[in-house]
Amino acid sequence: MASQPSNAAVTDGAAHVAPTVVKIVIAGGFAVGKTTFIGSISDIDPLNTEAAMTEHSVGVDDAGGITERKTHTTVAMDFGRIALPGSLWLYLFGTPGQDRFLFMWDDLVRGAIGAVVLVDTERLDQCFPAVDYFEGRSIPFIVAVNCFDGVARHQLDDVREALGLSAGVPLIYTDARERAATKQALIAVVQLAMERLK
Amino acid sequence: MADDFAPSALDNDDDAYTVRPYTVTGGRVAGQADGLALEALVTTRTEGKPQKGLTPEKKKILQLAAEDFMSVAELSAHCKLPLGVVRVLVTDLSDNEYLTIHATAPVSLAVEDRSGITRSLLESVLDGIAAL
Ligand SMILES: Nc1nc2c(ncn2[C@@H]2O[C@H](COP(=O)(O)OP(=O)(O)O)[C@@H](O)[C@H]2O)c(=O)[nH]1
Ligand SMILES: [Mg+2]
Repeated sequence: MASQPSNAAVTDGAAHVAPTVVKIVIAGGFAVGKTTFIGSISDIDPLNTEAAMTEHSVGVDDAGGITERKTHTTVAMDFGRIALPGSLWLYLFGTPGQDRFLFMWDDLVRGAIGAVVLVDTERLDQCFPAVDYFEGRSIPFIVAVNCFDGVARHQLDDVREALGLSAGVPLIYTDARERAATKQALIAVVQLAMERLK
Repeated sequence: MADDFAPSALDNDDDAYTVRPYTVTGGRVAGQADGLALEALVTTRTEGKPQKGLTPEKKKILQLAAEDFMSVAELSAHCKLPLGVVRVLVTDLSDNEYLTIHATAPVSLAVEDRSGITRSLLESVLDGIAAL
């Protein structure tokens, strides 16, 4: 992990300008390596936050009494932060794994530079919701095949075909545990976002 | 209290997403707070406004944001409070001049709106990541 940003920020009052904040979303299916990816390059240990879903049900029990049940379901997601020169803070937000939580993605994606969709070639179908989501909203995204155990088991061309990815979507190998590899993935996203400006 | 919660279909994700952090937020529900970005940074204002009467959750937020710039997401993680709750509390604290929300880019709820992402910004980000 890199060193903490040196921002004595708030101590001497209003004169300090807040860092400029940018973010990149790390998406993909359950256990594909999102948290590992974020942790490989974040300045801070990945933090975990959640949105709460409160589900209420009212019923009648056997004795005729009213029962009230409140179920808290929480959708966890984690994120990291990287301080870049020029007072830039880059946040990496991992999406909740299961696609039943797609409704939360707008919050994560709003204002993002782009996204990395992580893929485990053993479970290709798990990335379909993410690919569909970003394609549908014209959000720049790359697909990164996470090489579990450092082994690429499939040719990228085959993965591209299996996913039905258009030629415009960059497809790379990565290793979620390796900072050098995750750094390249982030660079690819930013480069894509720049190309899209043209 | 029960009336504050609409019974929702357990198997319908959209309906189930009824965040009503009623007690913690003092009855205020998300409205403009919804537009507060997860990555928006806040800092506690330094005038030393008395915090008497504030809830422990609000005091905790002010304490965290007095030390450094804090994003809404980080406050949520450190306070172990759901994002929706923190958004409401932060908005409330800002309205009452306890803290400052540092706007990142023009707030737009449209996911497709990319107007805040400029070439010079992307160049800085690219150079920064490449130098890591
Ligand atoms: N061998 C290997 N294990 C990995 C790799 N990436 C993730 N893992 C492991 O796979 C599991 C799930 O990873 P995690 O990052 O939590 O996935 P997430 O659910 O997408 O956040 C963890 O036990 C990781 O240690 C990888 O590239 N190689
Ligand atoms: Mg995870």
